[in-house]
Amino acid sequence: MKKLLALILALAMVLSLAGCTSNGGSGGKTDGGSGDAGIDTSKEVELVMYFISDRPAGQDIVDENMNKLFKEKLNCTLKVNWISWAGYKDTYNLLLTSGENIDMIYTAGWLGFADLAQRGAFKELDELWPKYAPNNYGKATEDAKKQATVNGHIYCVPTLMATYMGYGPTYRTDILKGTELEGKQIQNFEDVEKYCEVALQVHPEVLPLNLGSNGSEWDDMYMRSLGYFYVDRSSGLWFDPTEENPKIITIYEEPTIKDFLEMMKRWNEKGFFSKSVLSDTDTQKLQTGKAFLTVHNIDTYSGRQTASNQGQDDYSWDFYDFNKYAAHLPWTQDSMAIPAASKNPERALALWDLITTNQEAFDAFYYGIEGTTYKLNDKGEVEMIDPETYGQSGMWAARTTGIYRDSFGTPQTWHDWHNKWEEEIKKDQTWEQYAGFVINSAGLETELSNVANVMTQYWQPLELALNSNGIDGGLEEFKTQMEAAGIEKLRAEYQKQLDAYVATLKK
Amino acid sequence: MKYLKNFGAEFKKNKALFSMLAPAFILTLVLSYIPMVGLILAFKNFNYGAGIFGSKFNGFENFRFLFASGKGWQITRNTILYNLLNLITSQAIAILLSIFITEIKAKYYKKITQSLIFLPYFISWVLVGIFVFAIFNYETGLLNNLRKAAGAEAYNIYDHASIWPFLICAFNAWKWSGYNSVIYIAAITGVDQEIYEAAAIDGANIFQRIRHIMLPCIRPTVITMLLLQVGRILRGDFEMFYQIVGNNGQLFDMTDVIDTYVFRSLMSTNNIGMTTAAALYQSVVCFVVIVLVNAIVKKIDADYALF
Repeated sequence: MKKLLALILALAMVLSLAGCTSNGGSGGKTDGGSGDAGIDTSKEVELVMYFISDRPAGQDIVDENMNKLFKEKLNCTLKVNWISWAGYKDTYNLLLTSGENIDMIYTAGWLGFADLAQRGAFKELDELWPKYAPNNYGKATEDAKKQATVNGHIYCVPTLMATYMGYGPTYRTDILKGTELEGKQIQNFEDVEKYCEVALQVHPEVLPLNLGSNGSEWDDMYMRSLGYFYVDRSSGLWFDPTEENPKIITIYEEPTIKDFLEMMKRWNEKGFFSKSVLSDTDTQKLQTGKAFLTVHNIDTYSGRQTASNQGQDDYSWDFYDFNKYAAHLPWTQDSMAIPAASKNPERALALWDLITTNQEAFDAFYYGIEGTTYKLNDKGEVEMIDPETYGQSGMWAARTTGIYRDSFGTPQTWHDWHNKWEEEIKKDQTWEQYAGFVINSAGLETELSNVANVMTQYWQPLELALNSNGIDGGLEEFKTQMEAAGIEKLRAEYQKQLDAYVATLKK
Repeated sequence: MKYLKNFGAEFKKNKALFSMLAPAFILTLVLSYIPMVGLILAFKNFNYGAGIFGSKFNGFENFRFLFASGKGWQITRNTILYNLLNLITSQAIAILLSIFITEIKAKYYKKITQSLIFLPYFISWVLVGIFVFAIFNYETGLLNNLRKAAGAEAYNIYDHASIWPFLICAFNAWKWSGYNSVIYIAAITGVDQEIYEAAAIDGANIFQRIRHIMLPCIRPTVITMLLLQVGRILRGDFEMFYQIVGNNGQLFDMTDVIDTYVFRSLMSTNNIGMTTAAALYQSVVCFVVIVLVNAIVKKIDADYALF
């Protein structure tokens, strides 16, 4: 009876979602082989994969092509399902709630991986991963395995592509021609201010800083430039990794935070950004020439520069890393998880092993068919022939360093920074040693949601000098609200977890 | 038992009628009543593995986020005040409009006016949000360009949160009045023309006819419309608030309603239990309010009550 009720409930929920599509389901056999040694592929299975992006028209021919290969190698076929960006969060959670037979699903921090894992949405992979995806497991770093662990068990297979924390301004250089800043690089906050002043002289009609209703990331940038490492960005909690026993501080406890706020106030008064910026929902300002400088990761830079190199516009760009130290980004930022309802986890992992470690399989899965959907140049860089029909796969977790291909026209600066970071990490582990530190926020949902809300309501206007009660008044109010929202409880809990992590470092 | 017997007899007698009712009955049951079982999640710590019924109960923990930081009262107050304000303005304007439109005698003028007034209903809040920013943004907005052209200082409306309730109310009235007026126009045209003619012969002027004939005749419609709106008193029009105010923290004290607060708070933590708790809170309060208001209406005039 309960089951029937649950079924009807799920059905009703699905029906009530507007624009729902019929789900693919799985026509596959349910009893996959699970041999004791290695994997039994005698039975043909259809595996079902879900990830988030809008389904391209050309998916069918890509499916056909890659399934020929998969069938031959592993006697399985893969059914790829795309969760459309429209309402992806509801669909994603609903798929996991409904208990549909899914064998592989994209997951990441921004989809609430740790929370979902704690709530039993995914299969535990402690033994399955090394056994059925040995090549992939062998390539994964210790940090990656730590990050994939929730409550002592591994719940996802993180990406094998190294990405870096590098963060800083990406800015237009073509507008600097003929000014005093021509050929000069932005290296610190004073340079940013100088740049914006010059930009305003050359193009008084453009507000140089790219900011919008999502708030600013300059506060993060400031804390990182001082060498702080974040515990939880959305709660404004940081610690100084150079301390022997780091203590977590809130952003308002940083002694120089007033200097930062003074600077932002100056930028506001000088007109670097709009006074109604928090209601501005335009996120395409860089592309359309309505802003010149943004602070983000290096992919924003390479994305813009690659577009310019391919002739989409005649801009030129540069990037500089403002972080005090270099470190890898968490490997779990793109991951593959096996939902609890999967009936063929072994076969899914075997296929995943193939896709992530075999160039031929990866190309077929990720780019499609050479000559039809993509082409390569002599450097092995890839260009999609008709991005409208088939861009690239949306299963970003499948990317592996060495197998994943750069796009045509990827700028040299991008490669230079990556090499630089890799070398720095080898020399200086200040941040990198904390890369494996993952917070567990179970039982703190109330505080987390309240704090996130205070950050939006009080910190964002204060940071951009848009609040009505000045820096001192604003800071005081922000602090009071943070305390009412339960920041101390969060801090105490995270401090305990950080102490435990530091203890493992010292061993 | 007696009821059941009666029902059996009733069923036999009116088989055709019952079978006609069946689809609607089943739909309501499946789409409105059965999903209510899901409300149990408001008191549970949801676990994907264990499912809706297997998850563990955690008492009122899920409700805590609404009230723990002291925001619960503020957003409840905002939601109720906005709904009252919007209810009164949009309905009053709709009634006025419907009277004007029915009194217009020129046929084409009447049709065109009515269409124009109805038009805003088709404009989505997303577009309205873009209008608002285009009109009010500090640097390039229409308002400030006009002010500058007139030699006045630029005005930053985003610094003045207290203006926003009126703005939002105005946009709401602009969007809904035309739509609501259609219902009143229908009610007015349903009134027997002979009564007007008799009144006119007796010497009643147009204002007297409106006051003493038209308004009393559409009173049941007005009350039904009010009751239906009151039943949603704790539900903010999420799309309107979200598109007009968005993520702008400067305005939240005056513009935050339960729906936007819940959306913002739970966007990063996809906690099904907490969202269910918020929805349950809204539903329970709405239920209490509508039962109360209906009881009051019933006391005054039982004919007008909804149930």
